[in-house]
Amino acid sequence: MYKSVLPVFLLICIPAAVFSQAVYRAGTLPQLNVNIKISDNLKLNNKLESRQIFSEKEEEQQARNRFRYERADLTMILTRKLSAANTLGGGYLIRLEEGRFAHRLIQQFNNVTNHEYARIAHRIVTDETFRRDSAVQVRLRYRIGFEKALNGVNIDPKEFYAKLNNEYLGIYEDKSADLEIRALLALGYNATDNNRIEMGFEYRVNEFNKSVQSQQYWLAVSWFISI
Amino acid sequence: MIPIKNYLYPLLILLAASMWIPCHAQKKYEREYAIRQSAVPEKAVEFVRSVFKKEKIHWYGEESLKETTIEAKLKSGGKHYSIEFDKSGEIQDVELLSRFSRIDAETRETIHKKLEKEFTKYKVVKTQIQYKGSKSDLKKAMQSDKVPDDVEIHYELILNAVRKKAMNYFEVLCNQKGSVISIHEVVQRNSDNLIY
Repeated sequence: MYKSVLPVFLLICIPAAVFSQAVYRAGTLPQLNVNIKISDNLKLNNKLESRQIFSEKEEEQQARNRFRYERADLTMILTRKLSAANTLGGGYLIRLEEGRFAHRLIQQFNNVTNHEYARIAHRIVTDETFRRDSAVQVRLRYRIGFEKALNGVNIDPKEFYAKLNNEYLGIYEDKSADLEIRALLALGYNATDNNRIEMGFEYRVNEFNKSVQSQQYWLAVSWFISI
Repeated sequence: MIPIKNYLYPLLILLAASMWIPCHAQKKYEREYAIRQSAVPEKAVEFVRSVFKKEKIHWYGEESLKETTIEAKLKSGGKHYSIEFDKSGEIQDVELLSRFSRIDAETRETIHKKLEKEFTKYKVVKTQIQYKGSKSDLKKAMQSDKVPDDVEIHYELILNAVRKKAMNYFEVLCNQKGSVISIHEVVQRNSDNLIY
């Protein structure tokens, strides 16, 4: 399994390093997730995520290869179990970017099913972002995720696993619509069922409403703790 | 610009601190892992190969607090089989993936009546037919559609259900007549990394 995952990962990573004339951003995307069980059917997710840029290029500008701390997000989502497979959640995000705050309301539905050799997750999210002096941005997101143990059928403690996410975001802001597509390929380690870490490559492309699309290449590191 | 150490150091401290978080959520110890055929007792391999000559077999070891078992999983003629052995290679049972609708109507009706008493709401999401018996009878059961009379038949059902306000998956074992033998809550794997 390791032998098959590595070439796929490299195939995605190598072209990412060869930046052409496109508008792009490349950097790291660390994420800390702390999940608190409130009751049998209620859970509170607290997520701290930040973005650091190491290389970027704006349209008709030279590429800049230097470190820049772009932004930090703090999200809190309360989810309620609807059944063994489905959850419904709502939450709030606050973002600090270039000294200014943005506020986002989030509504989400999830479906996670266990299959013979993998787990498949569907996530539907709607969110509304509010910034001072800007129109409200509304997004409709759909994400499909696959997770597979690299040894055996289930992901047991002290085992590695592979994760693949593919997300589509419809974005509407100030009478203009855009699309963003994201893909993540990650290697995860399940230290215990309450402590997981994932590292992978995430690719994002958006600004389909412009002549040149904006591309993003992230080294994503996510840490999930449940208490 | 915020210096890198401002967020990196607290993150590293949190990472180190997490190693001390005890794992109380694990309700039972059970671990399964893929194993090579060369690590499987010869009589288990011989038994499976005597029935399934060409099929690709996946071997797994399963450790629990009680015992260690070995399982062969394979697909043949459109059917999914799980054949379980003890660690010496003696056959324990054979499980065949099926559909709830394939169980005869009378037994299905009995099962429904029992489940309605036990659960507020339920949906059968997986059905396996379990065969227990002698080596030769189990072999015959797998080789033909006719199951020998001496083979004990059980139905193992996985339900997406609500029981005493708990929403979870449950494993229900029923006998051939549809009586419920046991109900176990399935320990669900953490899916936070797929939800958020």
